[in-house]
Amino acid sequence: MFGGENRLTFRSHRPLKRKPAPFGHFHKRGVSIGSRPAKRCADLQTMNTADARVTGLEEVVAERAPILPALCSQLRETTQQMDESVQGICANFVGISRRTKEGAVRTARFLGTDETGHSSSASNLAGLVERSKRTLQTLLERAAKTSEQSTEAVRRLDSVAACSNQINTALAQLTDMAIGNKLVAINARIEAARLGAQASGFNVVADEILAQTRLSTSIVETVRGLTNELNQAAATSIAILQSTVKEDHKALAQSRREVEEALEQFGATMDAMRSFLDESSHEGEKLSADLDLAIRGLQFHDRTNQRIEHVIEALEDMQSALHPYAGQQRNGESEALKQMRSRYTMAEEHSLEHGAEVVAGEMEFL
Amino acid sequence: MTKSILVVDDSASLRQMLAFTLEEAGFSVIQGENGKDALGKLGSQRVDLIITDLNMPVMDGISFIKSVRTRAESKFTPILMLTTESTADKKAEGKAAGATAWIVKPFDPVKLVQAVDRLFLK
Repeated sequence: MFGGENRLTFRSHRPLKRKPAPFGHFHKRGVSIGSRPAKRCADLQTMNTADARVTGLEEVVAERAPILPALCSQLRETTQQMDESVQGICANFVGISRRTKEGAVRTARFLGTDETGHSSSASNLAGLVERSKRTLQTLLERAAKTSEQSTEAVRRLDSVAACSNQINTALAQLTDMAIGNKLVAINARIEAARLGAQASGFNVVADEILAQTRLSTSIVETVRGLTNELNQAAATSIAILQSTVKEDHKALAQSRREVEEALEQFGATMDAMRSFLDESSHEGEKLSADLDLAIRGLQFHDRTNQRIEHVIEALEDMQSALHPYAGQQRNGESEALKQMRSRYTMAEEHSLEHGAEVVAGEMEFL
Repeated sequence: MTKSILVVDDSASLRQMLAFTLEEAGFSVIQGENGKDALGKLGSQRVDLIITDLNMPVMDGISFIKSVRTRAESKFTPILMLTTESTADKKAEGKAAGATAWIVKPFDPVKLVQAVDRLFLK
């Protein structure tokens, strides 16, 4: 019908049942169907109409067929974009999961706990807390010992004061003895005076006794002076030490309270941190579960891509089937293709066709 | 006082991502699924900035912006177009309607927040 090797052949929808009538023959039923040339004319008209329709169809195919490769390109680009996006998202998810786990491990290491929650190393926070505890307790013990030594010193000084008192008592006795000796010396003089020259020896004895008495009295006074100084020194030292001991006791008690408070806070902080770590660990497990579900959900793109691929194959088949009937290559771009491109709204559609680079995400003031 | 942003887009997932990004940055977010819905929200709440898509059903972005600019309370509200369109013709159309700025999708969360801060400073 169209001519040429590959053109469609027109067939009537009703095969001819009998031979065409000879020239001048009329239908037996009396209905005139016209003469043979008129029928041939009608057939020709029908064939021309059909021919025109097929020509029109050829025009349409020629016009629309070029759209198919463009559609296939758009679809392929779409699947590629989806694949890249999903890959990126999965990588992000994996990164989130990894960083969460690493964070939990680092925190556990810092706290000094292993997976069972027990202290695992001397160089971490738990070890530091333990060492601090021991150091503080040692300091308190040393302070307590120093305080005890001060108390002991006070006791010893007290005993010095007691000895000094005993010395004073002994000195008093010596003084009494000196007085007694003086009386003896006086009595001796009196006897010497009564006995006259025969008792001159008594005077010598009396003199000597008096001299010894003076000497012992002097010594007593010296010793008394020394013991008084010693007493004063001891009393001053006792006063200072007692005051120091009293302040030490107060300070020690205060320090003990503060150390106990600090250790309690340390312990509470460690417990809070362990609890936080446990919670983080549970949250991490939930996060992993969420990520697993997200990764499962993201796999939609694989099924979608396959369906799109099937559509592309069907379009390519259609393109191959229509190609023989597309007629001669047109000059310039088809109107249908121009119309399709006019519907593009996205930067990616334009860039695919024209290769132009589009920068997304940057603000532009109008 | 927390600034509020009206986000208009027919894609629910995109509105969700915008809301998450802007709320994390400290803004309060109101959502509209098209121009008509957004105009209704605009009438009942204070809005300091509008982010709108272009191609939406019921009422598109250009018509929405034109309506926004006719209202006294939103005549000078900054309007940021967030759309897949990037042609000069469309940008000119947006500017003529009253849009302040333009971002081509996909948006980067950090850059979007920086853009919003710049619009508030302007």
